Amino acid sequence: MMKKPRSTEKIDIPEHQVLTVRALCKTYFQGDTHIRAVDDCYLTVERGEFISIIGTSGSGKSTLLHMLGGLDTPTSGKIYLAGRDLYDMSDKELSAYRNKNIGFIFQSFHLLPVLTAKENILLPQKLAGGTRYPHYFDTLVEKLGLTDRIHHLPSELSGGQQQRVAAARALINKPAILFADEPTGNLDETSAKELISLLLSLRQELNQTLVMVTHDKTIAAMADKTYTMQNGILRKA
Amino acid sequence: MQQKVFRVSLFYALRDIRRRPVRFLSLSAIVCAALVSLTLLLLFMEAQWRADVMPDREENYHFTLDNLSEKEAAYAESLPWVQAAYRSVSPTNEDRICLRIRSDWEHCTESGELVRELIRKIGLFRREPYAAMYDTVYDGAMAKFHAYWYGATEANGLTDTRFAETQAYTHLIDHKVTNQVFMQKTVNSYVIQRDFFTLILMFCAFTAAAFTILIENDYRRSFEDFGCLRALGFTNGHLLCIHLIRSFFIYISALPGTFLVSAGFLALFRRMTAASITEETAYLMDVTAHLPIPLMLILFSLMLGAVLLGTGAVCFLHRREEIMSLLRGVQRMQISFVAETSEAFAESDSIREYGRLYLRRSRRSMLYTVIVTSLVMPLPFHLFSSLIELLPAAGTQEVYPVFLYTLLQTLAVFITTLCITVTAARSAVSMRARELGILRSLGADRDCIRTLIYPAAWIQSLHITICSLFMIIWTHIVSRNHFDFDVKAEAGSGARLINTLLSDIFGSALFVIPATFLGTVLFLRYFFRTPILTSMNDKE
Ligand SMILES: Nc1ncnc2c1ncn2[C@@H]1O[C@H](COP(=O)(O)OP(=O)(O)O)[C@@H](O)[C@H]1O
Ligand SMILES: [Mg+2]
Repeated sequence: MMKKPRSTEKIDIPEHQVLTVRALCKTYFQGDTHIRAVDDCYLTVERGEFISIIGTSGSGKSTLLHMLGGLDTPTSGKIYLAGRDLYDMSDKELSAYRNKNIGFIFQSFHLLPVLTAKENILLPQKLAGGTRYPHYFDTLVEKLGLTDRIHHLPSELSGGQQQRVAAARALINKPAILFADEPTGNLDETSAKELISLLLSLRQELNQTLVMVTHDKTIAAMADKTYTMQNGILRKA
Repeated sequence: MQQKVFRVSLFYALRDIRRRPVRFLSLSAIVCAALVSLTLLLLFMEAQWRADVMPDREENYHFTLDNLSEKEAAYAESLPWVQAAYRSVSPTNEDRICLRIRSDWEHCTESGELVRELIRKIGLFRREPYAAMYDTVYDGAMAKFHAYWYGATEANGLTDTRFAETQAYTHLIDHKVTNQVFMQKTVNSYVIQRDFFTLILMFCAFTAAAFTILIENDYRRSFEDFGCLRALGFTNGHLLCIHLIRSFFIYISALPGTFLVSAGFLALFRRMTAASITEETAYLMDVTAHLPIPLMLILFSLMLGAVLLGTGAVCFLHRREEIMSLLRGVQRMQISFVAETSEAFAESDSIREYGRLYLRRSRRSMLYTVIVTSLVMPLPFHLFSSLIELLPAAGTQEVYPVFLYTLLQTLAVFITTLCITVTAARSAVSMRARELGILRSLGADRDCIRTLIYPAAWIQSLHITICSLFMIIWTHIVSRNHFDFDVKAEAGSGARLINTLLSDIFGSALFVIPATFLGTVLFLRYFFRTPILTSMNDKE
């Protein structure tokens, strides 16, 4: 039913384009009905760009972001990340890619319940082989205001704290591209502002690319480009 | 590279073990119970084996003499080279007197005179069964010799002493041989050595299968975590490594318990049989038991292999699972389901309706529980039926130790099965912890939760009973050809079949239903004690 797209055609993608999306579709089949969560979507993102996506709930933003992050297979269409077809990589390659080049902040955090905040944050670094950025952890934790909570389990943290831990975990390997699914959804106004300004400063510092789904119009307005999503269709605002 | 994979997997596996002790320990308890059963099986087998080889190895020669009167037996026992006379009980209930004579053949020839005397006194060869036996066992030449020997002794004493002594020895050896056959019949008719290995392998296979399915159950409960790990860049290889490490630790942590419990069982057994092991029967059951260490090591590694293989199989089955569907997890599916139906909570009828809906949706996980439990069920019942067969002769000196062994063995296997059944039932409900937590938060009270859970438990245990019954009957049919348990089996096999069938039905129902409910009740107790929020976070 779900066909895995294979790259037969070769297309040229310019160096500076980090992310290129062609005719991306995702359809959920449920019995007789099928839901087109993402419908024929085209998108190009350049290095260091900040893209925001807004849209009503259920319009398919998360689904799109998951596919861009290499977490969900599209029904059809292609995604090129730094020139490589994302869904043509082997499991091992794609996993290494996710670990080193992609950061993903989930809408529902998805922290590992058996690891403390600190262990959660450090896990991607451990997976990548340990000591890539030894002092980055302290910097991140301090900037996110998590210093006194790092030895707690996720179940002992508030929603906002969990979200910040999730953000730190996504950032720890200094990924080239960061996907954030409503990263401020659980935060009060000041923490939200702090998180966003952190993400933006890191973007400046590391030339990170940032793709963010948000409900907040003011945050969306800070982006280089803003897209709206409606019934699975992506449009430039 | 390999080392890196191992290190990060070890890190995660250890955290998982430490922070989810309930899951870890319940799996470990199952492995422990299985290993205890295995040890006892081995011990039993070893004892059986020793009983078989002892007469040979320790050169204890045994005579079996039919139709001796008590007086004749007493006389025989008073002879200096006869160490003991004992009455043996055979399954055919023939009354036989056995004589144990001095341990080496030197003695036998030395006391050739006495042998002859005994034989003359008792008039062995005039007895009907012996005459017939010698006709068939010995060839014509032997028969001729017998005639000569018999004649010689009767008429004018022995003319050729050496020749006669050699023949007396031959006679003894032959008795030893027939005697050996007889021994096997008394002790071993219940559990036949060769098939014992089949039993052990069957046991290993069943436990491995059960463990695999429990691991699978466990894996499903952690779908979300594995999705998360995959999203962070863990490969399937990493997940496999994590699971293998975890299973290895489960196995290792079961070992101390195994040794303790086995030692306890052994001590108990020794204590219970000490009184019954007299000078005469000690050779039958040498329980100052040497556990066969190399065999034990082999079987223990076999079990470890089975456990790891099962774990690997589970990971292999799930290797193609999409990250997003893992992340959504079993729980999430339940939650959306709760959300769909949450309006319908006010009346208890709608709760039942909800319960039915849930059952329909969770058919698969129930199927797993049913399979696990019915897979392990035949073994205890198999042992149980041999226990029943031993029961009539349980009081006698020779069968008593065998009976005790079988009793303990059956007990151990029943406990293993109980562990598996209870754990399977418990983990089947605890999959629902989060859903039930949400229901509680929506205002469902304890009675409401019980109305939801108990019918499901009933349905599940009925399914298990029926499946187990089929399994048990199937093993009965299969083992009929392999296990020749009872000499009397031919007689009245129709009535016996019905008896077996009825006891299987009652036995499996009596065993399965309380065990399933015990698992369910254990979970509910735990669930009602934990705060609603903790259940909603599924922290077990
Ligand atoms: N696993 C799934 N099965 C079926 N439908 C789904 C699944 N995941 C998402 N959907 C549907 O796809 C649509 C888009 O969902 P989502 O991307 O989560 O929306 P958003 O993040 O914009 O709120 C919704 O209508 C949702 O119901
Ligand atoms: Mg969303």
